[in-house]
Amino acid sequence: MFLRVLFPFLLICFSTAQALDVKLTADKEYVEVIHDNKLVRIQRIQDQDHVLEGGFAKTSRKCPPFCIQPMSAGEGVRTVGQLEIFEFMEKELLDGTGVIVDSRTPSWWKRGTIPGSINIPFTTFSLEVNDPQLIEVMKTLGAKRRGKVSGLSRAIEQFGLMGGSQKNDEWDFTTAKKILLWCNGMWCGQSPRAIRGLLELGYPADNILYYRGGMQAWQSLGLTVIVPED
Amino acid sequence: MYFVRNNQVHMGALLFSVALLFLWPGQKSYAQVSSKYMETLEGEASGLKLDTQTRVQPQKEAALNENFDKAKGGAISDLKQGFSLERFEDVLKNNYIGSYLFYKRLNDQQKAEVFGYYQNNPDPQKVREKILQVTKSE
Repeated sequence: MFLRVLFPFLLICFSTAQALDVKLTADKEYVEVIHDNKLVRIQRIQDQDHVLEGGFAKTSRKCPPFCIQPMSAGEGVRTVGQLEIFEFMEKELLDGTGVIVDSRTPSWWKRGTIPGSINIPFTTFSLEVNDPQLIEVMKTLGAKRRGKVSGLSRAIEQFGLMGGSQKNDEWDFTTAKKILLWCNGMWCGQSPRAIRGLLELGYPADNILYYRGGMQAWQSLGLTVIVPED
Repeated sequence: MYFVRNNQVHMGALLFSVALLFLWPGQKSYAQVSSKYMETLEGEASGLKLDTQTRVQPQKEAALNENFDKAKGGAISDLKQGFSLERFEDVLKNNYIGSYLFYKRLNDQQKAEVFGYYQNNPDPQKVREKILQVTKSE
């Protein structure tokens, strides 16, 4: 009888000990993503007395250039928070229809990034349309550089036919992926610049998501970061 | 008179073109940045440290990837017929991480359905399709 009572009790104690106290949401302890061919678990710091350390504990930076950014990074671009990122990681990132872009310069990226992100510095989107680096990056994002298009074809496309709504003179966005861009947070202009660059290139706004909280919010919540390997 | 007016028009057009030339780079300034801005950015990044507790712990990372690395070394082979459920899940995890992440989110009944399917179709592509099909039917 004693054992009958004790065993379930121990089982409950054991399973409680295994569970995380600081979860992502009430029903989600962690999210797993593939980063550089490795499985990485994203969770929060479990020490409830921990206080943020490091560069993101800093509250003040000179403005300009480190000015507070508006909530919207462009017309039609959706601003998202952490929960939408977790969902994005479990859906679009996993099935290959989405990309998470750390749009900061490489010197920021190499100090630590959000797992699952790739680094495309915001400056890339100001390159000339024929620049091989821009073409390669756009290919990664699912957009194709167009060859010579006849005037007639373009005219038909401009009526919305032949998938014209997803194309312009330079790019074909028919297979464009959903992109989630982020940088250092509310005081960072790097991802808003990248988004403006993408919109200027004609990238469909409804395929762009802006994580305004960026690394600042990610660190504040004690979420896992990864230092990219050289 | 006509000649003078025409000259004025030409001069106006010339000035307008010159102004356009100066203004044109400004049209693409959305992501083009001054070197001063870039210097400030780099300066701010140079001393940056992230909170050490948020960094992926090397031991934990190693544990998570232990089997994955084994797979890279060829220790764990591809899907073959007749694996136990545990072995099937191991191979999926080690060799087909994307499929595995989808599989992991299925409930026990759905996992059993996938495993049952694998027993008759030990083809990774088919198994992946089955996993996606079961995922979508949720």
